Amino acid sequence: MNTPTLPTHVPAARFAGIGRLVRRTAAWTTAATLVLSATQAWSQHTVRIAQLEPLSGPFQSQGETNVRTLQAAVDEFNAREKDIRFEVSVFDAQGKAQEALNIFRQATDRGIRYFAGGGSSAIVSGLIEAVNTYNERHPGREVLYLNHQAIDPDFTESRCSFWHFRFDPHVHMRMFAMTSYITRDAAVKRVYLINQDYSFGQQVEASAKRYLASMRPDIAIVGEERHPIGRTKDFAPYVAKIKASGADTVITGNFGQDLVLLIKAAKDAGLNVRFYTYYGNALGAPTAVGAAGIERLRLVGTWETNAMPARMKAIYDNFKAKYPKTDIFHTGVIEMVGLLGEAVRKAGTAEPKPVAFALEGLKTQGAFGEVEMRAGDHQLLAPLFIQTFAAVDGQQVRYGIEGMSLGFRTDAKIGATETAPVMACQMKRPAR
Amino acid sequence: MDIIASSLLNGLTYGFLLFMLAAGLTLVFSLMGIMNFAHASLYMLGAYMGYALARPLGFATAVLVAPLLVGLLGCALERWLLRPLHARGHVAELLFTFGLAFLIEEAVKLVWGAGVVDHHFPPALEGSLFQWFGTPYPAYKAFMVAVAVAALGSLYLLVARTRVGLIVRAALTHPMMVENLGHDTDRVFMWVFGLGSALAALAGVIGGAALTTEPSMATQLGTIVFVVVVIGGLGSIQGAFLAALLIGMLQTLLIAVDLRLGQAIGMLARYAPAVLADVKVSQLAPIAPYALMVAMLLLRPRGLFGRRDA
Repeated sequence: MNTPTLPTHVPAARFAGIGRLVRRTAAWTTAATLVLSATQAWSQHTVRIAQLEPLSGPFQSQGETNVRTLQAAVDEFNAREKDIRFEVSVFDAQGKAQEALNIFRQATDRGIRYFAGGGSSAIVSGLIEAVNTYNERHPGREVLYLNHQAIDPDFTESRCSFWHFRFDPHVHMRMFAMTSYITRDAAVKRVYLINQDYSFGQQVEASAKRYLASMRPDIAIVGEERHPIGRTKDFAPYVAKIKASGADTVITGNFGQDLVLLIKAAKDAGLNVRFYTYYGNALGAPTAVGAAGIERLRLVGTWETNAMPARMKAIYDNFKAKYPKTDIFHTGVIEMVGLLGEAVRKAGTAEPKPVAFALEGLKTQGAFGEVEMRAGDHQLLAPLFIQTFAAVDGQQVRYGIEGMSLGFRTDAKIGATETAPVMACQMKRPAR
Repeated sequence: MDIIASSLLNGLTYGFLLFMLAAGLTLVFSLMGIMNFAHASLYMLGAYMGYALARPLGFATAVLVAPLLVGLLGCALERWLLRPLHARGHVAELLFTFGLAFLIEEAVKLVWGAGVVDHHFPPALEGSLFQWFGTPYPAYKAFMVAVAVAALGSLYLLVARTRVGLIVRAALTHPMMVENLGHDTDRVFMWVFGLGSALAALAGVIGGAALTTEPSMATQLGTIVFVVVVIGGLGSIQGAFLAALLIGMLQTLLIAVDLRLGQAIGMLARYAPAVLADVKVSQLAPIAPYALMVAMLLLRPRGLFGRRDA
């Protein structure tokens, strides 16, 4: 192939000239890329994913960690597998539903067929609707939505869609795992529920009440509180209330700053309770609690640093080499890359519709054990871990978190099938 | 009873932090007529500077040096960027500070990253100072209150009792006359802007360690500080003081109430829609300051102690 030469007659000092130069260079580069990819097309499937994350606003750190984790997972996959190639384009959805929809429109115009992320359940809800509508109007050009973090159960129950796949155990599955561990923790007698005031927090609250009532009816729920998401700076008043209630355990779905500040305020007020959390291993919470959280901060999660198989170790090392002060806190994006890669291979194409059919019922070795993408509701069944904050001892706690010599010890592993929820989805499937 | 007592103390502490921040904002407004939208960004800058300085130099040095640096930055901003805009009126200045807020936020992200940085009090301040109705009161909160009282006490003495303060006050009402008497009012304005910035940074070094130091801290605390300044009356230090304590108390006490709205308003609940009656009083706490601000603007637009309408 001839190397395209730049036109030399363009006077570089003139702005119009530069503009033309840039345009021509861009055109030549695009042409070269097209030729290159055409020669490879017979041997390689390219999967282009648009990743939408909150990269500004209060949940920026969460979005950034997701971008970095996905990048590490994709790097590891691309280095290992030669026949399938992932390409990720990152977009800042700003934590706003409208912005996410704008990005969706632009990216579909650019021919991207796979979408991941979004942010909170509220934003993801809008994206799923957009994907459903788009696919109805554009048969033959369908797109898929891959959900790695929004764990509102409705997405795989009352509002399930053929075009949506969730790679993370949802609120009820996690709460079931947490409660089944609590049945073994006799010290839990009086529970206080504090959550963010939106769909996810409300579901954690409802779920906790439901499972505690059926599995540990002797436990008293001594308080329920909801605070605005991402805006509360001073949790001292809430902690005073928890203290007055006489609770010995706090259950919360809070993440990011909402968890950091809650834990910090509890530490200051000498609130002597255990914290059962969803995201206690993430985004500054371990740093905020420090040594005061030892044996008191617990979580239910999907990531297990102490027992990383070779593939996870490679992803972890890649991630930590670049970002030593942050940590991978869930496996959602990693499972997404693994399962999607396998489905593309099985389907023999990167076309979303056959890939979606290939994903249904797909069983494979996931991040930390066997996982299954349930065909009936597109919910991933994956192992969950109950972990407790403790000092690194090289045995049970092998790695520190956020650059500290404190990390998480795994107290229980709940198998993938144990948390399988009752099927509550009536899936409408397209013709193959 | 215990919860009311600890809520009062919490409210007081939070109020003092708000006041430290609001004092600088209202001071700059009273003198220069500028609503400085970048004020909370200077607070954030103070927190980050404090974090950067506390590592090599220790916390005590950071508390002194960070406000100094941000104060000097404030002087420079006023001297070289705000002053040329002054001739074009308040709208240009307002837009400038608005843009500056974004600029500082992006700069902070570039330098320190988008995540939370580990800015905290030294171990000496982490312990509890005394027990208050069974709840330990952390030493750093007492430190926060002490610093606020000291800073604002000296600010008051400076403005009300010294020659410099006399010139500052005169420049506020009669800038031309002060100029004709041979004082450089431009320089007075510059130092006042610097002082306001330094106060914000002082609040930042301490507030950042007490809460969290991260890039969205400016926008999050910024709005509530505007509420404090508006309720207190634009340009009034006493007003800002009362408003800050009022809002601190109001928020913490409302959270402490363990009632639903329907129970709280008693007989009136019969006329309220069911959805509203089911809302917990504690859920109203975050809206309360804004509701108070709207009410204040309707009933008394100049705020508690303001001399001109908002």
